Amino acid sequence: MRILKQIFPPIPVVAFVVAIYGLLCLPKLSPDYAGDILAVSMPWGMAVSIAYGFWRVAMFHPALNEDYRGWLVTTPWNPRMPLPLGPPTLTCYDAIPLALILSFNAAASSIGILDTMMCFSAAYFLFCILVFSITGVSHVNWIVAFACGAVALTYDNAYMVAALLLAMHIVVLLGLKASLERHPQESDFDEDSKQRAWGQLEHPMGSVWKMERLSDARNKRNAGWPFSLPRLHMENCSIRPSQSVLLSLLAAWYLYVLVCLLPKYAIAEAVVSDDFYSSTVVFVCTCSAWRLIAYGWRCASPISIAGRIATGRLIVFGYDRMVVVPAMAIAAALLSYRFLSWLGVGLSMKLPVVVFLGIFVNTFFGPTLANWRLTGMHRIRRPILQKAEYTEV
Amino acid sequence: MINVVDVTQHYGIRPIIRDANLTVRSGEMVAVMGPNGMGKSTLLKTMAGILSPQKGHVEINGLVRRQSPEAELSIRRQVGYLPDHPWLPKRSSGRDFLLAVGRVYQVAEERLFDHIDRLFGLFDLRDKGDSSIMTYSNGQRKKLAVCAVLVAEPPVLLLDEPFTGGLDPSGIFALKRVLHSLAERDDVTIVMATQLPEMAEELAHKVAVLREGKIIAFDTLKGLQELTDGSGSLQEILEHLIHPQTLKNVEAYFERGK
Repeated sequence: MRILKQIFPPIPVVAFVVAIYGLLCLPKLSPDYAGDILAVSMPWGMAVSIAYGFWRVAMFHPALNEDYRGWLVTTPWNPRMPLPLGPPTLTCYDAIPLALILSFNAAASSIGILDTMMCFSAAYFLFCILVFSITGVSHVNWIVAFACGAVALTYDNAYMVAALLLAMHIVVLLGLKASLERHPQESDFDEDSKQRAWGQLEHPMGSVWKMERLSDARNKRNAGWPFSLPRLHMENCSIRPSQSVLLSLLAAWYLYVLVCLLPKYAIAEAVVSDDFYSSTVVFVCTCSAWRLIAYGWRCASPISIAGRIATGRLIVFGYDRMVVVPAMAIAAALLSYRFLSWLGVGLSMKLPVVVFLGIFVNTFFGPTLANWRLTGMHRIRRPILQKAEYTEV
Repeated sequence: MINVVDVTQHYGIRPIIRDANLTVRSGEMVAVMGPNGMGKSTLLKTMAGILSPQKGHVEINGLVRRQSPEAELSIRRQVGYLPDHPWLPKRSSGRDFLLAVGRVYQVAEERLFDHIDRLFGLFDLRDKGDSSIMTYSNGQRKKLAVCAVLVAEPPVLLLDEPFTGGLDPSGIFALKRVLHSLAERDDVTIVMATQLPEMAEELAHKVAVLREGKIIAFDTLKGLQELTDGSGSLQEILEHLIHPQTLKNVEAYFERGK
């Protein structure tokens, strides 16, 4: 019962939600508007399901609550003990609030059990993804992201969707436990641990929560130009090869799901082919442009165009090499589409391959952004867009 | 130790630095001098890694700039660069700013707090230390920028016009003493661009003279005097090296006036 008391939203909040719903429904009670109650109940039921999903992670996981986190490291709490304010993982007691929401949705709106659970799970997973990113359990994020595509693909099959949701909840449960295992504990560290947990000092261990990144960013911002130059964390601004592969696969997977779903909405393949091909090419070009912007940001050409012409140094390889990979990505996308068309491969495979190549080439091939910023033959520009924050001496 | 090897740098059509070669040993203080627009700041920016030279390279303590990410990061932590126009965060207090800089350079917290207090005392900023930077006068901002480069405690200092920008006489005196002590006692390598011959004469072990992007002389004051066959002040040596015609014009003016 103690856990139910902890996880159940406060009674005043519940009363407030019910009162607002009542107020919205009041004008619809007249016989003239009888059918309109559904128009209020449906979004209300969905919103309540989503809000409960949000509540179950955001209010209970210390990674999302700085005060709670700071206090925890001063206590003897360790991951084998229950969290003092309640668990962020789902327990059997969650069945009670969920049953109440399901009953409301079944009685007052036409939202089914599965749809309610999907709304709840979507919000719950979203905040879990945030927690996993902060606490460095990002591999779970990939599993959840891929599984979301599978849920969309099998949306018509209720049993399959239910099975997938269950599997995702199990994976997320393990992820949450892993995230709590990584919580910095006072007994592990010296007297600075409290400050570290609050993000004021850099932590010597790579496996703990990455709070120091926030403080790095703050120090870098506060240090001004050019005193912040030595602080460039190489891991912070580069995509690892494994991430590159997973990101490309995920984008291709989502596009595959989308293309597979379209016939269900009676959209002709010819329309899909033309529109989606152009959109995919635009998308790949946007990825290339994004890479160019990221690499060119505050990294100017060492010599002006006039200087290049006058000195005959039309190509400064040390700088211009940043254009090679984006151009390769566009070429790979266009050529692969032509090649697969020639092979007679269907649209649902062709487009994902194009997107995969577009993202993969842009993110996989070096130099990495960190390497580029440290070793590229560019001129480092001052942060021109931050004039409001800085004063020039 | 700083080694500038065959550096040529130009932004546009005209080369700003041409085939510059310079070696500054550890604990040496070098003044880079020359008229406006001759490449003093560009040379310092190249040493500081802000610019990537079209030809040649810069070595700092045995590591070549922009050669590898690890070397570049290591160099950045060893070099404190004070540009001619540093940017300070307006809304931060002076103390927060210096703390942030110290942390970026990974100075131990206790030493950092103590050093900031001493710097505020040295540059007469105690009363303003906890006020936001936007309330500082120009001279106080310059002092704070100087404090920032000192609080980082790097073994190599690159200072672009450290004595200008509104520093009051006491600030100039304090900075002179600190730079002298850093070079003599702490073996800090210092390169400063300056327009003030008396500062260079008083502080620098060696003077590099730039004219039209070329280092036309790099020696001690005595060496420069020998080079110009005279025993005059640095001001006169510079005039002789950079504007040989000026001295003749001055002499001619007074000759004809007699």
